[in-house]
Amino acid sequence: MSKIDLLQGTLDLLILKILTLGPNHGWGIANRIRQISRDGLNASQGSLYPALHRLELSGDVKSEMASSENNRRARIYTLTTAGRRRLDSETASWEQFAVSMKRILQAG
Amino acid sequence: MFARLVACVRGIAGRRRISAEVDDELRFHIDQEIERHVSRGVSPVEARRMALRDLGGLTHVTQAVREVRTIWLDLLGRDMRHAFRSLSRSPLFSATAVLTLALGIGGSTALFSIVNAVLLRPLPYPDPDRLVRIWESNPAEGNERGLVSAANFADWRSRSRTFDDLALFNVDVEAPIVLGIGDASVQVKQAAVTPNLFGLLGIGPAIGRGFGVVPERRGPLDGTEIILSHALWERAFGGDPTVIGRAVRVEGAAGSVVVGVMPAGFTFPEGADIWTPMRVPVNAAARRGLRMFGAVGRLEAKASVATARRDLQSIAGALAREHSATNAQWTVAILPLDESVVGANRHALVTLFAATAFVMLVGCANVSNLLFARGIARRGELAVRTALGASRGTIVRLLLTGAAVLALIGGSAGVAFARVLLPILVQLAGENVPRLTEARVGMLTLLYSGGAAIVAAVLTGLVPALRHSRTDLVTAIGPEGARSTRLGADIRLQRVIVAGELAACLVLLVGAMLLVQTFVRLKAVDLGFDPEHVISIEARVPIYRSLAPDRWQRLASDTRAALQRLRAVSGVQAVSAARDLPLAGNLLTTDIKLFGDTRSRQALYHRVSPDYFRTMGMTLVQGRDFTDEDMSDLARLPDPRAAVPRPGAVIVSETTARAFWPSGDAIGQFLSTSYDARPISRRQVVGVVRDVRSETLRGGPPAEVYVPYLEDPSFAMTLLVRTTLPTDQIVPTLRRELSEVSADMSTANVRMLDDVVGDSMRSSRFSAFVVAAFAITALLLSALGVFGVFAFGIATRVREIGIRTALGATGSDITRMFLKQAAGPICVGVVLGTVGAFGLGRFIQALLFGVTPHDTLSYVAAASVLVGVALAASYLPVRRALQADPAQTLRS
Repeated sequence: MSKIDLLQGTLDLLILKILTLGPNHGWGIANRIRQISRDGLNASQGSLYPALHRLELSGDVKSEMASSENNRRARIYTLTTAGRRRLDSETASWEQFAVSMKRILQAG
Repeated sequence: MFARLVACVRGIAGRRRISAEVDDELRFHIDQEIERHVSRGVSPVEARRMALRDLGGLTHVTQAVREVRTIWLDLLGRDMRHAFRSLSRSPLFSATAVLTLALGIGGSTALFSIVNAVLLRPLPYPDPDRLVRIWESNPAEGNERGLVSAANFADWRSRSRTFDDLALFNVDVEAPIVLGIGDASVQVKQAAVTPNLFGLLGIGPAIGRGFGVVPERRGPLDGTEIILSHALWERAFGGDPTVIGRAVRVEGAAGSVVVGVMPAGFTFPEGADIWTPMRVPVNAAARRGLRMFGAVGRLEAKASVATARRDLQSIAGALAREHSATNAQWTVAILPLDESVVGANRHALVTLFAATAFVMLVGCANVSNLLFARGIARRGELAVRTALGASRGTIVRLLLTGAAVLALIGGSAGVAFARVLLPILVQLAGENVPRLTEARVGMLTLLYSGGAAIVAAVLTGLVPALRHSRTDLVTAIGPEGARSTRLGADIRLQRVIVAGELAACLVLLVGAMLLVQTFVRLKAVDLGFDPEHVISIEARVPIYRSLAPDRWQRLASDTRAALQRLRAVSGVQAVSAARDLPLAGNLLTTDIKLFGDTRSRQALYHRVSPDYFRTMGMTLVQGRDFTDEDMSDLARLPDPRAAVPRPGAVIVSETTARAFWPSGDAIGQFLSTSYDARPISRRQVVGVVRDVRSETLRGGPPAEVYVPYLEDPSFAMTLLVRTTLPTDQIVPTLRRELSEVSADMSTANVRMLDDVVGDSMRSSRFSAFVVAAFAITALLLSALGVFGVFAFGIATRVREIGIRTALGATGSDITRMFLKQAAGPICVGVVLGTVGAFGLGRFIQALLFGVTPHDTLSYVAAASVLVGVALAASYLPVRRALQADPAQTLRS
């Protein structure tokens, strides 16, 4: 399976979803994306961090510097209530989008 | 949204710190990746290369993150540039808006710097809240804050336990004395103070030292230590630091020496140029009723004003019992020093400041409507922006930035305007307001104007921004964009703002009417004397003459000679000499009582020569004026201060006569006065004169007595000359004549008596003038506002007018229709304004005289003016629209 490139909006969605599993730092999120999609999605790691900061500015996540498991300094991101709301609404839109696309593509 | 703001502010503020943190974050990422690769068997070096490659380059990512964080700043910059561009594209709009804001913010700023200088700043002494001013007070006589007698002061000092220290000072610094420096001489204002005054206030001399011990016996010819004010030091001594120890002449007498110079800005009592030490006389007991000083105190650390008041009042009560002749019914009044300094000005200043707030409100309402109208015109543009993805917040931010830019420019123009306005206001307000001359457009004032600009930005920008950010895209972009039905609601909103503006304007107009009426009534107060065509000249002889054994004879003959010479000048109708001027402040009081009676009253004590009443235009209602004979045998005596068996003469005012002899036969009765240069035990009433306003124009006249001048002639006297000739013609002649009386007589302070009277009304005139100016400004702005809104409304209905005209409506039909619609906001404005003025009325009460805050005439007049102007302003656009050709408008 070729690695599919992600658009910016969809990256935001993935980040929010992963954060529902618990607060995490940037690397942890990248790792998780890799794991869950079984390496199917190629999130250019470089676009991850701007996305995270943008999400913080729009209030969907909040962050603070903390020590990680191996005592290194890392920035930990947490989902906010606004972020959770955004996740729910965009997930609903996505599913509708996917259903519509499927219908169009399978139309005879 | 708040979190967003915080994050963005953090972004602007801690750029370097953010950068460092981003570096840390990415470093962590790289380290983790390296670990991951290494654990799969990749070499560390190779692992590092892979990690960096996968990330996409460290600098690249860092840069991207930084851009995300500072996006707010870029957006703001873009909005501001856009605002500047669009403002420069519509210069008429921008100029109107900026000018309106400048007027409002500038006026408010100027008043704020005055309020700051006079009211808000703490006094420039250490621990100023420990300082109090103390007066003797006799409420039964209507004397709330009277001067202090030295004997009472001495008793307070020895008996009170709540004060660290008390000091005495003489309050009359206005009469200048002559200071001789080398060959030159200069007139200065002298304040005699107890030596501990500077220590009490906490400010010591900048150069030199304070006063030493004051010698017990000191004649007027002996030298004294002198401390100079900073201003005098620079003016007369050229700022020379070797001035310490320099000998000077005081009133011609040598032997005085300068011992110190006070720091710049120190002026207590207000206006003093030099200070001389005085000693509280040990035998002050002889003159306990002579109240002529001011007193200040520094409270003990643990004492409060209330405890000090109780303390002194109980001492005053004890003194009233011990010395009932002079102290019965006398008590003490205390106020914190800063409150006493401000005095009655507080009310006036706060009122004026509030007035500027109203002007600013009116101005902001105008600009808000302007922005509103502009936003309606920009509907299309804003709709396109929304279609392109701008959120509501973005549009609001765009419009608010526009308003903020306007407020910024308007605020800067306002500060410049305030700089110009401030000296004018200070000049108008006169010299009676302490610390007024220190008003500056300084740091605090700039901070205030910045705040005012922000408030203006919010007030003007918020409503239009919120309203215009929600546009219905379809109708807005379509061909009927500007004429959508939402327009009706927008115009209604504009009218609401206009109604508010008219209300604020009405409040100002009512205030102006009340204050103007107050001033007019003050002016119309029957003074009891006729100040027109009367010149007052102060004539002085040096004090060293007081050493001569024949000093009283010489003074008496000089006074007589002066009066005689002046009388002989052609054009002079009447001349007299007196010790003090009415309404010039600092009058002396004395205790008088019916001879043989123990009950005494306070009365104002005037020493006047014959013809005084004629010169002043006062009316004698009973008896006679003083004659030369009343004063004649005194001149023969070796010392007028010796006891005299014959009763002296006295003339009383109507109020005094009524109080003592209600049945009306005052002539021939006896009374005694306790403040007496000579211990005359009794006086006989020879005349009754009509009351005059000597102290203040407001309130009832106090009791007054007049005694012949030469009983206690003064080295400084006031000569009053009634003449019909113009001042510049006759004054030189008068001065020449006076100089020929005696070689050492000098003249000073030539004034017209009606100027003196006018000065006493200065405060009222100032308030009335300023508020009237504000009210007129607000009226003009409101008229502009009404005109703008109605012109806009009519412009959108031009077609409708064309149709109606074509269908047969006449000009007056259409005019009536539009004026009926104008009536709505105007009525609401008048009602709101009336309610507001009613509610605020009691704050202005202290400033009024002869009118109540609910004076019907003022309200009716103000409302009429407002309605008239508003109707005219709403009629003009109708007229212009009617003049358009209906065929043209229908076609367009």
